Amino acid sequence: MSIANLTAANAIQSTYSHWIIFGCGVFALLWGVIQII
Amino acid sequence: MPWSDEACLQTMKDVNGFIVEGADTFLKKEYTYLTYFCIVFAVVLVCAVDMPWAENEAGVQLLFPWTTFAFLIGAFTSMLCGYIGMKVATTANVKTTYLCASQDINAGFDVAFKGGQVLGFVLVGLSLLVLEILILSYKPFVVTEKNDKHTEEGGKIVQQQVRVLFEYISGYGLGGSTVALFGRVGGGIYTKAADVGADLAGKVTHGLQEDSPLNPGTIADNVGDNVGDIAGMGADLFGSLAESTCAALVVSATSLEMVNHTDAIYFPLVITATGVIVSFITQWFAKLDLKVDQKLFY
Repeated sequence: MSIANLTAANAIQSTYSHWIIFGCGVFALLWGVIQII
Repeated sequence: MPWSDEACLQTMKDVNGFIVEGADTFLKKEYTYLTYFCIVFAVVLVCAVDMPWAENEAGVQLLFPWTTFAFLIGAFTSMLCGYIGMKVATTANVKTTYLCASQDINAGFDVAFKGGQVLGFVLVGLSLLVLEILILSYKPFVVTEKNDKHTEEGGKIVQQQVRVLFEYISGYGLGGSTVALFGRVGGGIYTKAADVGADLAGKVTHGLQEDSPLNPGTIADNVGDNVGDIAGMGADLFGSLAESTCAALVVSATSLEMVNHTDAIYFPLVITATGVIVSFITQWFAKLDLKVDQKLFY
């Protein structure tokens, strides 16, 4: 993608990274809470 | 006295109760003063860094102190991590001691290891989620150049706005580190003072043994260990994680190639997220298989 095609809509608009980060974050929180129980 | 004895159990619970109460009181007091400091520092940040009344580097006037807000969120999350770690540790301590003495050292290890896992996983989970939510919620307000005509100049403005966005986000790491500094140093000074005081008063003056339950300074020493080495370390770990991730984001946002390939921008966060999975897999291999003569405890 060239610099000319960079727009507010597609800047830092990742396809799969968000899902990995959210998934792992929620999983880490859940696993931590399960250890307390 | 056998460890299964009711009186012995009660003593253990009483001592733990004193430690929990002391650690709670210390942390509440410390966090109260830290909150005052953060508010004062936030005012300094608004005046010196954010300056919402002026245009930012990208030539846009944003009537909101973005860096300061990220700083306050980072400070609060850091305090929360420290508090959760301290609460879990004070509960796990007494269980570990009891299991090591009454059953075997392997059972105690399991409880201690699980107690540590709570802080580790919750800390990383909170750090990742809050940072990601901050980035996504800042983006519509900071990256405003639509560049509908797909010009090179417009693209450069977008890139500059992305860089400014991550500079705002770096306040998150600053907040985490500020709390970590006070948590680590405050707890460390307290525990050292209690340790020296307990030694001088108990061992030297009254001839008591090291860590004798008859010495009130021992409780203060244990409280210091919990608030300094656990709550302080939790905040410290959070600060290091948040700061290093934010620094990587700010540096990568200066590169045109990185901004053009947006998945590359998130690489530092994805690395941390992958660490969660690796830690989850490897924790199953952490087992202790020691044979210890229980009579040694009596």
